Amino acid sequence: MYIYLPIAEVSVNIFIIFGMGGLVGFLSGMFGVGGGFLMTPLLIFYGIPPMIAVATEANQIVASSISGTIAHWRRSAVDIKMGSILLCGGIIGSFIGIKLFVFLKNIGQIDTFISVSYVILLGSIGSLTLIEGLRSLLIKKYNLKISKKKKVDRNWIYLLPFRLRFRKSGLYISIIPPVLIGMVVGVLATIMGVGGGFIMVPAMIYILRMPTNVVIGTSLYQIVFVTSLVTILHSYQNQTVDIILAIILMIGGVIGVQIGAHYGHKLKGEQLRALLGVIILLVCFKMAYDLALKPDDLFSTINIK
Amino acid sequence: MIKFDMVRYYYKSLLILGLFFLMITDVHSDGLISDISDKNISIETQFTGKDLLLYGSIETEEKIQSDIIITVIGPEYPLIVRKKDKKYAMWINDASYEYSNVPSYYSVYSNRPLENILDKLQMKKNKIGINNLSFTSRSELDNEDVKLDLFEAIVRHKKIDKLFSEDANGVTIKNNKLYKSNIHLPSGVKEGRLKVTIFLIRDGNIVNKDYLNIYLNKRGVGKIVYDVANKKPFIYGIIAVLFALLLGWSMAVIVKYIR
Repeated sequence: MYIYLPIAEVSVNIFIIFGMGGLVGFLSGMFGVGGGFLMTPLLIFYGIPPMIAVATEANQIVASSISGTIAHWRRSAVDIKMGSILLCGGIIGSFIGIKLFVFLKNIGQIDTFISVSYVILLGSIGSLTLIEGLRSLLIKKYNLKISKKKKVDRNWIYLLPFRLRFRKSGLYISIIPPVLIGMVVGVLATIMGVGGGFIMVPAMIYILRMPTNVVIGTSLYQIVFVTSLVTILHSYQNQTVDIILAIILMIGGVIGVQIGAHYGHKLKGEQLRALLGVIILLVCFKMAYDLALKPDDLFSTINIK
Repeated sequence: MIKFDMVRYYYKSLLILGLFFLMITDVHSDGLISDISDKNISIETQFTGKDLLLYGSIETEEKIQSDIIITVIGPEYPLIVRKKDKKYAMWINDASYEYSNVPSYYSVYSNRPLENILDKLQMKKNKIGINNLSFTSRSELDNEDVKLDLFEAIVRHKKIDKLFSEDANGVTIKNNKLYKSNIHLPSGVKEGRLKVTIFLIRDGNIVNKDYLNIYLNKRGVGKIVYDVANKKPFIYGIIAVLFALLLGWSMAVIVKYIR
């Protein structure tokens, strides 16, 4: 069944879009990742214009992250104070991101920029995930014991000014690192249509040294607000948010997440992680291939409203 | 009395004169009566294109076979054409050219190949045939090859989307009297007025023209979404966010309830 998307101005097969939402949702539920970094490329591969894929995906992430935030909120696993500091950075980053986005759009380079960003991002996350998965597989198989690095309690973070007490996380640190992390995530969210959890979560654990039990909830809390702002900014500046497309993706995604979470418990973590790494790398190669391959048609035409 | 007579005489002569003119036109001109199966088309969310029946009669005493050409032209829009070049091992957009008046839709139907019906000059003058269209460039274009490449690129892309088409067997004429044609509107057709011109041609000369309009209107959910997104983009963004929040929140509630 075909449906005409009013903003993307293309007819799409509703079941394919629904299926893509479900598939990415399934992977999200299984691996506990956001899924924006897989959804946006899939939409682009299907033929949705990149600018619309990015803005609409930001809208979808609002829905998926609010569900997650509520779940973590119930378990009282959200550090609101830290989340709000991250959010301040996120707001600044989003505004920087939209300025960059509009500038690149006007000079006709936004599509390439989105693709290149994805190749870099997916390439690095994919390889890291794959290596990590393979490493733990090997450790398990040969019963290797690897001595973990000693945790350094005091690092450079503690030398920075503007320190604040975060009771929930049990930290007393400068607000500069969280603001900077939030900013990077805000820029990425605006330009790539991702939540940015895959960068924020490791940064919170390894740089800010937050306890792992509040990391996911706090990151989701920030993502809800940043992706909401990104949706509004894209809508206001570029009119590229397709609500119809977003709704189909949201519904597919929600169902996929539930199924994925159910099966995720039954499968082995290390194999899963290696598999996820392979999937991410495949998407990355496809994106890079499309950039490097000489197009059949060197010309492209764009209607101006 | 005299006055009344004069008036009557005056009307009488006017009537005769009128009839005379009617006779002249009847003899020298060929009538063309046309109609179309649907003049108001709504583009809704499920719109996947539409076929319209255009039909009519040719009123003529001539024995020579008539030709019919039909052109359908949609509203004109500005357009940007970009050319990719290899830079930093990637194919990225390089040169960009702007056009101010490219029709969003153009199709031409005829009963036999256009070049057998009319000469180039008349086709160009009446915008008959895709290659006889001309687009105004806002960019400075000195190089004829580049100009041609760009023209061909626009036409190629429009043809892929079925927005430009030519059909030399698109009109059937019966007994030199009745004609009909199937006008195809693809899914990507834009809102606005489509101008339909029917040319009656004999011996390589246009002997009559008839005009019709088709109005395309977006309707339904898609229309509302499009309008709000473009006219109130800020409010649209807020609605999109509220919708997502509501959907995500209700999902969280449902999931909790199920468990």
